[in-house]
Amino acid sequence: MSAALDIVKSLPLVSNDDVEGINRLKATLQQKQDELAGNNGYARVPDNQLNAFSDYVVQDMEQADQVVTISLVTLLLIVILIVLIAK
Amino acid sequence: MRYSPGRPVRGAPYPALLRYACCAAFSLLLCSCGAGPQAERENRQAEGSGPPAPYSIVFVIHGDGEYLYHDTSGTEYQADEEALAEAKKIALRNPRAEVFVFHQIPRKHFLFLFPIHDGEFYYFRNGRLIANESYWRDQGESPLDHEAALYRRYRAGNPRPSLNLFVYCGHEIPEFGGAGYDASFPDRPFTVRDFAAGLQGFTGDSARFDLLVLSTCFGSTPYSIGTLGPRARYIIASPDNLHLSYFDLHALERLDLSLQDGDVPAFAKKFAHQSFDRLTEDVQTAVSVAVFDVDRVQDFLHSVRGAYGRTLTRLDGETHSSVAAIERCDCADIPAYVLPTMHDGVEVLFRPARFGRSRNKQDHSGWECWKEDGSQAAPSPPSGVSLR
Repeated sequence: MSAALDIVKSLPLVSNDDVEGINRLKATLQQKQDELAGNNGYARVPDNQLNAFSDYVVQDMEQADQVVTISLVTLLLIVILIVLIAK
Repeated sequence: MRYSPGRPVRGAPYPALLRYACCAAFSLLLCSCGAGPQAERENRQAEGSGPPAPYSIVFVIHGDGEYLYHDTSGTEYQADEEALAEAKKIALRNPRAEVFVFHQIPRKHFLFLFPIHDGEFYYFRNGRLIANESYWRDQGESPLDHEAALYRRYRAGNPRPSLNLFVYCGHEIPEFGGAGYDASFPDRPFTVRDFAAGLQGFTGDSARFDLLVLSTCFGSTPYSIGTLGPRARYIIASPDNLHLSYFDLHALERLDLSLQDGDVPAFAKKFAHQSFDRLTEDVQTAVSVAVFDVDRVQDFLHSVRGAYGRTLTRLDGETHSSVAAIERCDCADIPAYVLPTMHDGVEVLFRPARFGRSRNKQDHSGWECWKEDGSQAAPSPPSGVSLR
C-alpha cells in the first residue's frame, strides 16, 4: 500500500492538497505498523492484545475521516495501484 | 396495463400517455396544495395536547455527511440513523415531555430533476407522536432557520417548560471556514457562530437552554464554549474525538425519574458518566466527556480569549490541507492556557487511548486547543521512548 501511495503521489494530475493528504495517511499507517511490530521505539503489541489493537486501528481511522481528505480520483488511483501491485 | 411485447408502436399511444402523465402531475399538485396535512396536524396537535409537558428536548441530527462506524464485531452502522431511532425511543418513553426531532438528510432528486425534501421533522408530546412532516432546510440564510421556525410553530401557546434540553448530533462544527459541512451543499458554510445563531432562533434573544449536549468531535474548545455559552446554562461536549459517533442518550429516557427536583447539574453529570461508561466499554481510542457550567467558566474564557482568537485568525488564513495537518491537544499542554481558573466549572471524564503515543496521558483539562508550531506545546512522548 505504501508503494501504491508513493506512485500516486508522483503522478502529475494529483493536486498538492491530495499529496498532503496522502502524506498524512502514510504517516498514520506507518505509526500503526511501527506499533504493531515494535519498531521506532514502540513496544511490540502483545499477541493477547491483537484483537484490541485491530479495533483501535479501525476506530482511529473511522474518526480520522475529517483529517485525511483525498479526492475521489486520487482514491481510485490508489485502489487500482494496490490491486495491480498485490497481483 | 400489462406489457404486451407484440403490440405495434404507433402514434396513438403517446397522447394517451401524455394525458395520464398530466393527470398524475395534476393530482400531485392538488395533494401538495391541499389543506389535508395541515388540518391533520392541527387535529393531532389538539388531540395530543393534554397536560402541559414540563420537559422539552430538541434533537437536531445531522445526517448529510459520512456517518458510518463499526462495532467490535464488525457490524456496520449509520450513526445518524442510530441517533434518530434513539431519539424516537426517548420521545415515546417520556410521558411528560415534548420532543422535537429534526433529521437533516442528504439532498436527493426525483428523476434527477425535482428536489425532494431534505429534512424530516417529528413532534412528540407526552409520549405520543403528534406530527411528522418533511421540510426544506436548504433555503434559509442560517442552516437552522427552518428548524427553528418549526419549533416555534409547534411550541406556540404552550407554557415554557421547566426544563429545556438541546441535543446536536453531527460532525465537529468548524470554528472557522465551515464550507463543505453539508455534503449536499458544499458551498454553504456552517460554523460554531452559525450554530449559535441557529440556537438563538430557538430560544429567542434572552432565554437559554438548560442543557446543551454537543455530540460531536472536538466540541469543547474555548471558542466553541464561549460562543455557545449565551445559549445554554450547561454544556456537555467532548474535547477529543467522539467514537461510536455520539454520546449515549439513554439517560434522557424517563426524564421524570432521572431529573428529580430539576437538578440540571446533577443530571448533566449523570448523563456524562453514563456516556463515558458506555464508550469505554467498547472503544480503544481516547474517551473524554466534559461538563461545563457556563457561568463558572467565564473567567477562564475571558483570560484566553485573546490568545485563542489569534490562533483562529492565523488558521483561518491557511489552506484547508494545512489546517487539516495541524494536530489538536489538551489546552493544558500549552503554557499560555495553564491558569488557576482553568478547571473552574469543568468536570472531565477521561480515559486515554489504549494504544498510540498518547496512551500514557493521565488526565485532560476538558479544553481542547490547536497545537500550532509557535504554541510551545509540552512535548508528547518522543517516538524513541518506549510508550509502555
